[in-house]
Amino acid sequence: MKKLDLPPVPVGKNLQLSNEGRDQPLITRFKHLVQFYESDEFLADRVSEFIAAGLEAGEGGIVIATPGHREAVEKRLSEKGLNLTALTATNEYFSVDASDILSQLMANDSPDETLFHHLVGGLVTKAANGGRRRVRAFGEMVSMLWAEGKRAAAIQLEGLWNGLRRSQAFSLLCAYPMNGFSGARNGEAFREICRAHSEVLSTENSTVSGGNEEERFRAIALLEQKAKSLESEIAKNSLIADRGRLLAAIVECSDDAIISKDLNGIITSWNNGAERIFGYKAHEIVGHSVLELIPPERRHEEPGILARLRNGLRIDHYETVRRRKNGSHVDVSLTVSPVLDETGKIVGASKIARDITEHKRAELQQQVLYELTSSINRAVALPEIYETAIEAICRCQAAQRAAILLFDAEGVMRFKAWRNLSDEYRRTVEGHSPWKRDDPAPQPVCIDDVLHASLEDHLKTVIDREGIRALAFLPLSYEGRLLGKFMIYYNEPHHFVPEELRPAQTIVNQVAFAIERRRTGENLERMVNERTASLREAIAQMEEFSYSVSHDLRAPVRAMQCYAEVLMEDYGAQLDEHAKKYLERIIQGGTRMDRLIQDILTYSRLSRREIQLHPISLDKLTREIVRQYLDLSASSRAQISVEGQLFGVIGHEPSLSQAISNLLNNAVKFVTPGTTPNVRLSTERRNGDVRLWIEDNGIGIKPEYQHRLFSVFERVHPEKNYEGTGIGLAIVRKAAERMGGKVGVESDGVNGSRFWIQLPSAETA
Amino acid sequence: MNTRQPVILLAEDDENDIFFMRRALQKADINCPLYVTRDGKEALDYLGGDGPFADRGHYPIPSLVFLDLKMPFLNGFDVLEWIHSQSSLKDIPVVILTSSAEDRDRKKAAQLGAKAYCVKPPTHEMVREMMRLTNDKNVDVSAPHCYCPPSTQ
Repeated sequence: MKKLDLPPVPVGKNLQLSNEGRDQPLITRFKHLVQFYESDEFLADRVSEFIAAGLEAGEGGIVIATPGHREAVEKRLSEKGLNLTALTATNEYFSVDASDILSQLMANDSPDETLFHHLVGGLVTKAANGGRRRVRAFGEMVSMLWAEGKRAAAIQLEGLWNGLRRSQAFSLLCAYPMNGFSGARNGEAFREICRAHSEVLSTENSTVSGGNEEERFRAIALLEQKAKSLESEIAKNSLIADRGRLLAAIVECSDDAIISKDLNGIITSWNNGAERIFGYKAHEIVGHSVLELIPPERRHEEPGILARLRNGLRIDHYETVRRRKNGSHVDVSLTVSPVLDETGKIVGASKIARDITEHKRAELQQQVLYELTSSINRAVALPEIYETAIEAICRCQAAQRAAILLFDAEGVMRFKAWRNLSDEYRRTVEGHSPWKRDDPAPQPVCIDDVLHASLEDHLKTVIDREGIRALAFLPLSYEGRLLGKFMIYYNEPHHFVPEELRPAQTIVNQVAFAIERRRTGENLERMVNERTASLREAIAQMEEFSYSVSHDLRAPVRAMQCYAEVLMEDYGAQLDEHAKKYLERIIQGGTRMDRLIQDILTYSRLSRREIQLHPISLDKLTREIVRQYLDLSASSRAQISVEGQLFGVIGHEPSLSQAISNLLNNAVKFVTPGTTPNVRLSTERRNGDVRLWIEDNGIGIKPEYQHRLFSVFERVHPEKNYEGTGIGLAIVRKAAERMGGKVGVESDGVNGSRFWIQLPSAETA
Repeated sequence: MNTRQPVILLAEDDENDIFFMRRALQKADINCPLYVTRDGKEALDYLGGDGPFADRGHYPIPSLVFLDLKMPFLNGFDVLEWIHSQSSLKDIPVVILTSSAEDRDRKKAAQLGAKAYCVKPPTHEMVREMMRLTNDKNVDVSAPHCYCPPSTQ
C-alpha cells in the first residue's frame, strides 16, 4: 500500500518545483500537491488516503471530481470506517461534481474569479468551520479543462486555486492522468502546472516504497529514468509546440491570405490576412465553398485547380481575380499546395493569396505612362496627346471622368479634351480656376466630397447634377508658367492622398512638356517660314536685278561697241593706223565687257535656278558638246578624243552641259602658242560616283594656285596671253555643287592639266 | 492684202538701237519703209489705227513687227499678247528683238506666239533672215526661229 506521507519525488531540476515555496510561505504548511496517475484505481487510492488522513485527524475534506472518481473515493473512505453521511451533515465532508461546478464558474472559456471564490471558496469556508478546522481538498476541474484542450483556462484555474489558498488555509491535491501528456502537447504548460504546485507526486509505476535497500534503489533509479524520459518528452513537445505557435503566429500576422480547404473546396481555416483581403470573418466563411471567393466568370478555374491538387501538384503564383465580400474584385497571385495527412494521403489544400492590386496598378500605370510618352515622342498632334493623356489618367487613377483645360489667348481656361462630361457642365464651369494665372507654384486642389465642401452654391449644384462627388484640380505648368489644369472626377466620395496623385502628376508634366515643345516647334517653324520668305524675296530681287542687268546694262556696252564698228566701217578709210588701233581697242573692250556680263548672269542663274536631277547619258552629251565645239571653231586644229563609253551620271543636263563646255574651252585655250591642243575625255568609277576627266597638254597650273582656281574673278594666267573673264571655272564649280558633285584639278604646272568633275553614278541610283 | 511694198514696224525706245536697225536694213539692201514707235502703248495705237495713226494711208498695217521687250508703259510681251488677241492682226509675224539672252524670256516669247527671238544688236544677216517671214506665213510657231550672235553662246 502506498503511504501518503511519502516524501515528494523531485521530477527534474528544470521543473523548479521550489519556486512557489519561496514566494508563498503559507503553502509550506498547507501544501498544493499534484498527482500524476496512470490508472483510475491508483488515483482513487491516493485521493482516499489523502482525504481520509485529514478526516481521521478532525480536518475537513472536499472532493470535487467526476462521478466515477467520487464514487470510487467514497467507497474506499467508507471501507476505512468513515461515516460520510454524518460527516457531510456536520459540514466536515463535501463531495461535488466537478463538471457541475466547472459549468457554473466558466465565462467565455475562462474561469471567472468571483464565481470561483463564491462557489469553491464558499465550500472551503464551510469545511473549515470558520477557520477552526484544517481542510484538505481534492479538485479535478483543472485536469478536466486540460483534457478538453483548454490549457490556458486550466493554468488560470490553478492560479485561482493558489489565490484562494492565500486567503484560506487548506491543502489541495490535484491530479493529471499521464496519458494526457503523450503525443503532441504543450510542455511549457506542463511545466507551468508543476510550477503551480508546491509538490509533484509521481505516478504509481514510479512509486518509491518500502522493501530492501536494493529494491528501493532500483525503484528510485526507475523513477529517475521515468522522470528523465518525461523531461525529454516535455522538451520535445515544447519544441514542437514552439514551432507550432511560431507558425500559427506567422499565419496570423501574414499580409497574405492563408486559407485551407478540403478536396471538395470547402474552406477549413481562414487567417487575418484572408479577412483583410476578402472582407469575410473566419466564422462567416469557414465551412463554405471556396467558390464564393471566385467571380462567376472565373469559376471554371476551380475544377482545374482541384484536379491538380488531387494529383499532388502545386500551383505557383497564379495571377487571377477573386471576389471580396462586398462584391468588388481583387487581383491576386495564388499559390496552392496539397496538404497531406500522416499517411501521405492528400486531404486538402493550403492556399496563399497575395493581393497584387497595387502591383497590377503600378504595372498599368507604367504601361499607360509608356504609351503617353511614346505618343509624345512620336510628335503626334496635340489633340491626340490630350486624348491619350485623358485615357492614361482615367486608367491610372481609376477615375470615371477627366478633362484638360488650357488658358486661351484671353487668359480663360477652356476645355481642350474631356471624358464623360456634359455640354452643360463644361459650359458652366469653363473659365473657373483655383489659381491665379501668375501663381508661381500652384498646388493641386482636392475635394473629397462635393456635398461637404465649401463651394459656391451654384457650382455645387452643377457638379452635383452632373453626378460628380469628388474631384481634383492638378495644375498644368511648365517652368513656373501655369498653362492650364487637369481635372480628375469620381462619382463617389474619394479620399485623395498625395501619393495616389503622383502618376497623375507625371502625366500632367508630360502633357505640359508636349504642349511646350509643340509651341517651341511652332515658333521655330514660324521663324523658319519668315526667314524663308525673306530669302525668297532676296532671291526674287536678285532675279530682278540680273534681269535688268541682262536688259539694261548691256545696252550701253552694245552701243559703244557698235558705234565703234560703224566708225570703222564708214570712216576707216579716213583714219590713220593709230586711230584704227584705238577703235580696235574700244571694240575689244566692249566685247569683253559684254562677255563678262553674260558670264556673271550665267553664274548667278546657275546659283538660283531650281534644278531637278535626272540620269544623264554622259557619253551622248559629251560627244554632242565636242561635235558642236569642233563645228563652231572649224579653224581650230584642236585634237579632241572621247575615250571609250562614258558612264552615266545623275545631274541637270543644262548645268552639266555648261560645265563641260567651259572645261573643254579652257583645255583648248591654255596651250603654249604653236602647240596643237590635245584633249582627252574619259570616265572612271569612284565609290558609287562617276568622275569625268578632261586632260589637256596645256601650260598646266602650279599647285600653289590651284586652290584659287574655282573662285569668281580669279585668274592664274595673265590676261594678255589668254583672254577670259575669270568666271568660267567658278561656273563649273557652282554647276557641280548644285548637282551634288565636286570638281578638281591635278597638274604639276608644266605638263598639262587634268580637270575632273565628279557626279553620282546613274547606275547605283 | 495691199499691193504696196511691205512695211516694217519697230517698237523700240532706245535711239541707238533704232539707228542700228536702220543701218542693218540698209546694209541688207532692204528698202521697205521702217515705222518706229517709242513705247508699247504707241505700238498698240499704231497697230490698232488709233489717234494719230488712224490714217492707214500714212500708217499702213506692217508686214513684219520687231518688238523690244523693255519699253515704257507696255512691254513687248504685252504688245505681243495684244496682237494675238486681235483677229485682224494675229497673222502678222512678230519678232522679239532684245538685249536679253535669258531662257525665261525666250520661253515666254515662244508661248505668246513670237515667230522669232533675236538678241541685239541687229545685223544685216539677221534682218535679211527675218524678212523671209513676211513671205512665208507658215513658219512653225512652236519652234520660233532664233537668231543670236555667236558671242552669246
